[in-house]
Amino acid sequence: METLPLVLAELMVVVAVAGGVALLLARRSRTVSEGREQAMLETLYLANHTLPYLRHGLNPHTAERTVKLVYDYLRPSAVALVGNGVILAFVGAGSDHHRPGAQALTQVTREVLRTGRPIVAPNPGAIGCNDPGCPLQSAIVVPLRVRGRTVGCLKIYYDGNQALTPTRVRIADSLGRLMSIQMELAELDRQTERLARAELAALQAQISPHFIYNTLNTIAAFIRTNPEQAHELLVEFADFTRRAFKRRGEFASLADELEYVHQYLTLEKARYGDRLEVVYRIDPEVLPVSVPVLVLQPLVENAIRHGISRKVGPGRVVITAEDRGNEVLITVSDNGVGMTPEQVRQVLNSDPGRRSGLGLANVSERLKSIYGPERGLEVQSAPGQGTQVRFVIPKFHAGVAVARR
Amino acid sequence: MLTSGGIHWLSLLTFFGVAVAAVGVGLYTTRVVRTTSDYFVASRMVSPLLNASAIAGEYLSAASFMGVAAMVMAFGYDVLWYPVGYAAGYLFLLLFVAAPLRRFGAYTIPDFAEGRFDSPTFRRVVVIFVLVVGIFYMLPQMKGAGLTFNVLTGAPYWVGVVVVGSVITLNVALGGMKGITYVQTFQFWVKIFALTLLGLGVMAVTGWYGSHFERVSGPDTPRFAEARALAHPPRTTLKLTEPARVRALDPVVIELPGGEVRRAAAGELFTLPTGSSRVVSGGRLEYEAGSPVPNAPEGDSWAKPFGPFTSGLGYPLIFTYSLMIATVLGTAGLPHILVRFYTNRDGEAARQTTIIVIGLIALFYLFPPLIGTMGRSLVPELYASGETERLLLALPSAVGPEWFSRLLEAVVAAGAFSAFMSTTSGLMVAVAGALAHDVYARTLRPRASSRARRLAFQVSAILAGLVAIAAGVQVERFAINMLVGWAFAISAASFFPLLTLGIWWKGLTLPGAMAGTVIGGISASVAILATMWLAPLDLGASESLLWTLLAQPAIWAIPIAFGTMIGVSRLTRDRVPLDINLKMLRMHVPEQLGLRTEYIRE
Repeated sequence: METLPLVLAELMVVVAVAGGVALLLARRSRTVSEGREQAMLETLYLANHTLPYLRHGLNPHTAERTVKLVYDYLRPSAVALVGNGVILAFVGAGSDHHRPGAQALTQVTREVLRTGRPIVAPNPGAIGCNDPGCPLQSAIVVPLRVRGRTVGCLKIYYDGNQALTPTRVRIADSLGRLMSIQMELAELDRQTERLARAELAALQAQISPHFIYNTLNTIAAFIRTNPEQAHELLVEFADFTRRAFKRRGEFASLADELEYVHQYLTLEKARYGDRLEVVYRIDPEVLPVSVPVLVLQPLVENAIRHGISRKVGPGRVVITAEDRGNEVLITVSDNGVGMTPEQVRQVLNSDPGRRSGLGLANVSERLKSIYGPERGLEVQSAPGQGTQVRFVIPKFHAGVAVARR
Repeated sequence: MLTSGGIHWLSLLTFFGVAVAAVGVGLYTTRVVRTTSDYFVASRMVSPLLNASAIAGEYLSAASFMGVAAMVMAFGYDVLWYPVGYAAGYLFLLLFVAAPLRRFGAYTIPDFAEGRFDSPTFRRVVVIFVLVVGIFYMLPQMKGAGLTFNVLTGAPYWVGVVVVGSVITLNVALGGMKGITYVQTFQFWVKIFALTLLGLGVMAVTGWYGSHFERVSGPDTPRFAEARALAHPPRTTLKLTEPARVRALDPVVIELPGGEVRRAAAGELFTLPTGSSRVVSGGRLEYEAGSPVPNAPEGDSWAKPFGPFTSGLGYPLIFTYSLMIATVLGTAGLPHILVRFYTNRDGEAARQTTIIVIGLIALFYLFPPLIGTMGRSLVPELYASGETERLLLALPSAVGPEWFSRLLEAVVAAGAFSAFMSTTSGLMVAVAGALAHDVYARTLRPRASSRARRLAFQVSAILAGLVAIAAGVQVERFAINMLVGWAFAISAASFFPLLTLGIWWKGLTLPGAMAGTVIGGISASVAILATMWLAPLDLGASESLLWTLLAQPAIWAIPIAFGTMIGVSRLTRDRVPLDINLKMLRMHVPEQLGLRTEYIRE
């Protein structure tokens, strides 16, 4: 699924290149021009060779390789790549004062970055370098655009006005466009990677490593003292993992979700023993209601890990599902250590850096994306007062079918 | 007043006791469940028998509990179409509507309207009719409450409406609908126990049903078995088919059929001639044993089709068919019925539930006709004062020793309260839910928090209760089942075509559905409101075809709605939803095929 945009984008590149070639060939048939043919070949050659570099995005390293390649092939006075207003790479005449890492010096660069349109600067005045001894005479500056935003520009300098032939201008322009597409692909790559990471995090949220480790340890402890229970727990654990792995689809009935939670709690209870009491208050009318999968278990796990486990003495988790006509109110509360308002904010903030709140943030974001921005989790907590997490799900939501086993 | 007056303490106790018990059942069944090793979700699932009882409990309202028996007594066997229609309507709902809607994921008719046509606007239109039908259906419940309270305490009619209406409203608003499935089940068994005990108890004392039927279905008019004193309020009409000997207990002035005014001193014995006499003042009369009961329908016609129920009308056949259509087709559109069906754990349980529901409803309707017949036989004096609707509460006093009468009466009072409470609560939840969910949360304040929505539900419940009480006070003069029949007619005209075509015809478009629903619903509502306002004026128009069509609009309003839907849909062919085949698939593919392990999202 996530690779689809990527594939599309690559297709777009192929079509764009092929289209470009076709266009050039078509024009050639009308006015056969040595120059155009040359321009086409040069552009394709350069595109072919710069592609692997810019595919990794725009940075000093990839910029230097690209600039060198262009310089070697076209032999202008100088070539530069500017990104975010900083010179990323510069090769050729004037490299004494146009240094990589420095702010872009010329007026024309700033103009291109601002407008996002290519500019042909025929004389030093138009280039606008503030070093009076600058050897650069004329320049073609083309923007590099990713998703409609100008992120940098490619500058090709020549030594005189006559050097700015239409062919050279066209080559520069085409190069700029192709580089832009490559950078767009790089951006997509990064997004795909982020998505995959988020997916991984969600998968990890399904069965947390802590939980697996703790459960196996609990079972190990029981093996000597109570082999019978150890066996039961192991079977339960196997069944739990099977359920976790086989889950597909976005929705399940609340009954299914509760059974999953119940199984999870059976394992947690084996570990906590009398320290953990679980109370259910479920209206039977709401059991067949469709809910997004895995909205409940992360809340219960959070209540145990962050509420009960840090508390001295026994704790209690209360799970309720209340029939409210068109809606179902679901709450998970604990009488654990509670959270400060600051902690509550952090827990609901989907900052992947803080693992602690990932489960809740994930659930909240999913609820919002399905049912609307006002339908996320509501968390009520104070230090020492326990925590209550609540959310409301409409029984009917256009497009969501009743879940059934 | 027929009974000796005074407050029936035991009955009053059970009357409100059953409300307290219902709330208790709700609280007990939703009590804290501590986790044990049993398969807890399965244990929390509602069994088909329990669920069927709940469905029947919510469905059988005051109209069924009190109204059918009373109407059978008043109008004879024509009235049996009401229970037949109510039961058959349920069958229709379960066979053709409930399963597709359940598969579709629609809990209510507005859900269906929105999902089938992808139109939140149409949803709002449908919500308006849900509110109309819901409020309309609460009226007969209020009427029953006012009447029962009046019999038990002697308080005026409106006091009962206000007291009972407030109790039920507050219970709903304060979250008293906890464990609603168990509460409705409890109330169903209270109702059926009350009716069964009353029916069997009366028969045990006074003889089997057959003997009563023989007595009342012959050509003879019902007669007073022994001398009986009745107090007729001024302006009461006393219609007699043969002369009756009466003794005036106070000085009495009566306008005799010829227009002559008869004055009788206290203690004077005189004859009321055949025809309609009118009480002018001092209506306390003692009828001699064996004298005919005034205003009682004649024996022959009472036990035959087109008897007293339709005899005043010029077109009894159209009236009867229209009534049958309304009761059979209106059930599916009642706002509180569909939801209860979702508590089933799966399709198979749903089918079992269906069969049990039909059995339970059939069992329930066994008794009202028997009780109506025995009422004609045992308490014919109810005819004289036009108080046949009090039958259920009057019948106990006609049998057996005092303690037995009081016991039966107390049980009936409990059953009556269960009837008002179960149906009114279900309707109120549906109406308040529609107000809070569709009007408040989806239209006025889309970003309201869940607490605000909760508050909105409570305010809506109180609002709905106030409207029901205010309107309920106004409807004392209408028979309970007439009111119910009207609610069914509006429901049938607005929702039946929408459900039928929406579920079974691919070609239905949004403009077609909207036009048909609006035109059908509005024409039925207008006809019924016109009848309600014109009926008391006694225009003498009841012989006309127009009058019959206004009083029972289902027979023309439903075809008009169908025609509009089909016609407009044909004209707007290009507006058929693009994913219509997917929607049809979702509604009609049986669950067992397992096509939907992945849930479809658009």
